[in-house]
Amino acid sequence: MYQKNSQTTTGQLPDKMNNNLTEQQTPLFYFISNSVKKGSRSTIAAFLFLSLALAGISCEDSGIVGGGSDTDSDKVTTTEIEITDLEILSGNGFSGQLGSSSLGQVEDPFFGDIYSISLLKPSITADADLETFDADTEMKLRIVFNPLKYGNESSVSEYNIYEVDERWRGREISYNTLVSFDETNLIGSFDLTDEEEVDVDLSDEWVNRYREFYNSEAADRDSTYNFEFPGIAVVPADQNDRVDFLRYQPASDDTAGVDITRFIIENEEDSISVVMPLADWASSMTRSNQPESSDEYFVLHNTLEQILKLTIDLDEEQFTGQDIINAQMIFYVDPEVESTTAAGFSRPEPALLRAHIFNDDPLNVTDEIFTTESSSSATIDTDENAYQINVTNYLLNNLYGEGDPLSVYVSLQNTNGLLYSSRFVNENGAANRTPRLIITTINTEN
Amino acid sequence: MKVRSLILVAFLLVPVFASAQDSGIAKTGSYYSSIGFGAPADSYSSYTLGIGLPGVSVYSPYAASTTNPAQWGLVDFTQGQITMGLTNFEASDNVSSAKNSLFAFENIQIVLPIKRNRLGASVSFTPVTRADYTRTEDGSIMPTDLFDEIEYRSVTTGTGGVNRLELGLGYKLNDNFSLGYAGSVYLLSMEENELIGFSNNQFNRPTAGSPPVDITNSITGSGVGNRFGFFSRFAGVLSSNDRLFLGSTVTLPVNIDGDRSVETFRTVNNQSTRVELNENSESRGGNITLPLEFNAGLTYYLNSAHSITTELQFQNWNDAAYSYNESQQQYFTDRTKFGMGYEYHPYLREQNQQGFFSNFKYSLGATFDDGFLSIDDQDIETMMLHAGISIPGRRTQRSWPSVDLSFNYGIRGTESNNLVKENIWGFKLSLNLAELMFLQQRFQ
Repeated sequence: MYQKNSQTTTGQLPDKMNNNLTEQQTPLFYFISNSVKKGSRSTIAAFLFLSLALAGISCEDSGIVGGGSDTDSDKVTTTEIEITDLEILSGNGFSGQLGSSSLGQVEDPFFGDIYSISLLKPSITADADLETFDADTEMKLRIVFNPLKYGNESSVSEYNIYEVDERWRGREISYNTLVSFDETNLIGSFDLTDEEEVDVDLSDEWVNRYREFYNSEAADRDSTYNFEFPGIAVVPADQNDRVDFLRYQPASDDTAGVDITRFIIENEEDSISVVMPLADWASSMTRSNQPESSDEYFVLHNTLEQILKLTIDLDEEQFTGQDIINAQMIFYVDPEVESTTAAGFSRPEPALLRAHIFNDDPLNVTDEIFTTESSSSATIDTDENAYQINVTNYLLNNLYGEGDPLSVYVSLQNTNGLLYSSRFVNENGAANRTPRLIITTINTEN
Repeated sequence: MKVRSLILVAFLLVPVFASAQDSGIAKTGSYYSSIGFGAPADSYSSYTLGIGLPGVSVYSPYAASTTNPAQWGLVDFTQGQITMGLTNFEASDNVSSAKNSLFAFENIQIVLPIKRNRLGASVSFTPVTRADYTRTEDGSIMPTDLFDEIEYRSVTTGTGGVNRLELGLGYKLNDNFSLGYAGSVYLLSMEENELIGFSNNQFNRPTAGSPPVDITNSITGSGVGNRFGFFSRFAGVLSSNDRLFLGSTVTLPVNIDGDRSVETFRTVNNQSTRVELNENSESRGGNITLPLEFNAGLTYYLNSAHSITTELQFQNWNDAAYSYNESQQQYFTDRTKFGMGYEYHPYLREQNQQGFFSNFKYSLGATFDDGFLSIDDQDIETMMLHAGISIPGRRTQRSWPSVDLSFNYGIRGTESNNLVKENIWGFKLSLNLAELMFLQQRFQ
């Protein structure tokens, strides 16, 4: 049988196996370091391996495989949460010195009766080509209209121009503020069908009073003008059933230098033609007879008369182990508005929904919305007739930030003097079109 | 002193290997190591590197072996060994291909004869499973009807695995039989980094220059393991100078209580911070069960120069668990690996010492592994060929170092069923030291 202390296969102790080697010859690591110069077998092997290893390492790794094999599932998931507790805030946005002003009247069965006048006041800044505004020189109002119409597209609108009889300032006036005018002093009138530009002659009496201010050399010329010359009101006549929009600024997409509303002072004999820009302008609009509110829809106006407020306050633990990468709020437009609108009745079609988020509850929401950039916005998806607003950062801040959850203020379009309104399906509306929050997460626990 | 040098060098080398993996010098290993808690890291005796078998039935007094605790009772020498390897993977699936290299530390071990040729102890650190991979996953989502289809690609890079820190004893019952036991601590440490990019930028991280979505998934844990070994040897079985070795080991299942941390960058109030996504999640804790393992082998020395070894390894992966991903756990299937090898030891024959090529030991082997995974009823099989050379160092009465160098080539997996086929080739190097220690020299 196997002998005690015999070594594996030989039956010999190692000291008997190689009598040619001396004890001074060293173990492995010593001889690796020491025997390079001696060229030992182990050194050869070590260097052989090292060379191979370095050769292998220097081979550049490239490519990735396995893209087609599905070893994980449900990596990216979406969660749908119904948005409830919608609150409609009432207010009135600023209506002066905007890109447009509304003018006319319309009865909209969905958004109420609108009556709007435009207030205009010419500048008296002296023009180099017009040192003196003499009696032989005429003044007229050139009104440039936006092609958008609100109401009966084919009707003829009649407008009168009166002098405003109270002080107003475009920077302060807001919607649903009526400015009175002197109906006994007709300054001009015109009819409008689909013209884009109308020149209106103004009464001599009003022009003469303006002329006095223009030619005045008094030290208090400007302040007196501001206080004592309130400007004119362009007022819809009784038979109007449409709102037109006066243009004061080129639209952002204008490339051809579209004209804007201004006064013209000219004398054909002397070939004088001076543009007198507006010193101030505004809309004085009121909305009445709005349909009663319903729990199946809510209405937003770009005049900020109605603003949606909501707060998304979810439980952080609901998303334990999940990485939230996107959150979208979806609001569906109520299709009934478009489907039941009478033929020939046009309405500016909104295409933008904005979301404002404020770190502190604003004292005046409409002012804050008017004066600050929105946190997020969305254009309408015309196929689904819905808006989808990215609120990822808002949701993350609310879920994981400190303090009470913040609210989102949703408003329609920009406040730009045009009139946009839209009706949205509410939480109690059609099931597949109720407001919802879609949260996309990566399931990290797969 | 020399063994201490080995320990010192080994501990100096380990962080070097680790950093090599982190730095991207050596990037990824097998694609299949991405499933579960890594692919089994085959542990070989340095003496059997060249035949690709564990070596439970092969014993060398000059090269330490982690594979059979019973052999530790036979040692005369204090033994130490460290093994490292370089493996190259040329992987391909139906649509793409990749080349990757993995330069990895294999194991380190010290065996001490408490009572020479009767009772020995071993301390070792050995990888049990290893995950080194880069994996992609393509998909698409349509979160709402208002979005067009959004495509995404996930690239996941994983490293780590389960390592075993083991302390064991081997005892020689008599000249023919020895037994061994090893208790161990299994240390799980895995880290997976996933980058996900979406075709719609709203779904990517808002921070410019940062990866789209960056998630790091780490699992740590530990468990206690038990391993038993049996070894027997007989001389003069069929001829006067033959030897027969039989060996077997059983490794009991190991339960590891895992703790998973999932971290990512999150932008809150315009500040991007790294956060833990599952801080209070019940699923943070999980169970990992390593399978029962059984090894058995037979080595027959026709004479001192020629030996044949055949061994079988069985791992009960059907009962393994990975609760963190039960869909991946479903892929586990019992693994059986077997093979046969031949070794030629001319250097042990004194009469052959003159020739240069007689200074080495030569090995050849072939193994078949039916794999620990079955994906869509497709076993992920591996067939390997192995060759090795053992280079003895200069021997003295007190020490005998050696270097084992092996080469292997094989094929794993298949391209069918959208799976990955890997052509694998690599080298392993084992540095071995056997030295008489703690003996007072009688003659100067």
